[in-house]
Amino acid sequence: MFVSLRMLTLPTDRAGEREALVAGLSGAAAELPGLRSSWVAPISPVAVINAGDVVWRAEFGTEAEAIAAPLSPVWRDRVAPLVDGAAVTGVGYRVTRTAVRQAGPGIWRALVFRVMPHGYPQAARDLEEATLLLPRHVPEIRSWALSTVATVEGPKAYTHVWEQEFDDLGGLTGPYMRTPVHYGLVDAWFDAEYPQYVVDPHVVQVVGDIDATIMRAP
Amino acid sequence: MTRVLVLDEITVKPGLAAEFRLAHRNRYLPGALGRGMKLEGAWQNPPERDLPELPTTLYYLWSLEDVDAWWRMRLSRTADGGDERFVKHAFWQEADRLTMSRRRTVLSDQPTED
Repeated sequence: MFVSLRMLTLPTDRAGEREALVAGLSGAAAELPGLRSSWVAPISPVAVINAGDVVWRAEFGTEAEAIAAPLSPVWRDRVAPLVDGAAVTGVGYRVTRTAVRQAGPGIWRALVFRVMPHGYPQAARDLEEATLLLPRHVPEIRSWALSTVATVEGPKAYTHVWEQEFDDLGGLTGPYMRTPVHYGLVDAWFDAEYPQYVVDPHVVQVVGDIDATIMRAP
Repeated sequence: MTRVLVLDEITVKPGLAAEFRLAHRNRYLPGALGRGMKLEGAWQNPPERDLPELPTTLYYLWSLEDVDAWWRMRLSRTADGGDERFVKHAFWQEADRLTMSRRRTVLSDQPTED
């Protein structure tokens, strides 16, 4: 399974088009060749960091299908006009390290970040291993995936996508932030005061409401 | 409420410990206090005085009243609303010129066994 995740930022004079963009992309996505599933939502203004207005998470069977999608007539006729003029931050990634539990309404959250070049290979590996402790110690994380980025679109060469689903925002702002695994371990690679600081400070945090689990096991 | 302790261990190159301590006191401490960090103590090895032939390891123990205070410190903003991490990073980048190694460790009181 290969995910194309796009965060779209509308020009300020088109901010009112957000709902129309969500509806338009949802309809167009259903006709894209190779698409397995798609979720489009307005980005929650709570806890957003550098993410913009609308998030579009599209799952394809293969990376080749994901790369081919923007060349399709459906994209040209229906998607391109919608996103024209919007700033796009996109990442494509193969989902391998994941655990998915089917559940009802909640929130989906992703942190998209870049490990700076001096962080390879060891610090990136250590950061990934520490991050994978979080779902083991925070039961409020009902689904998760930690993925390395294969394709990028936009101004920053992001390297990682850390996705989770929670029953509600409180799971993210409460137990997830308060666990000592987070503030006492994982955060070291994100905090400029640590010698092991390797994550570019321009991270993307995106949160959206979901009616049910949107992540799928590969 | 879980008190959060932060222990900085900084090994300074021979002959530069005084310069580091001064920079830390003048250019790091005020900002850290402003971010809610309380300096519980500062120690060093070798004890009592630096030896010119050897590096000096400095220990600074900070405390924050709870996890929320940790995150307020961690995500602090400058007076003009900017991201203070760049100010913090600038200090450590400059200070690393004087150091051989450093380590920051987060600590807490030990859990109570039944």
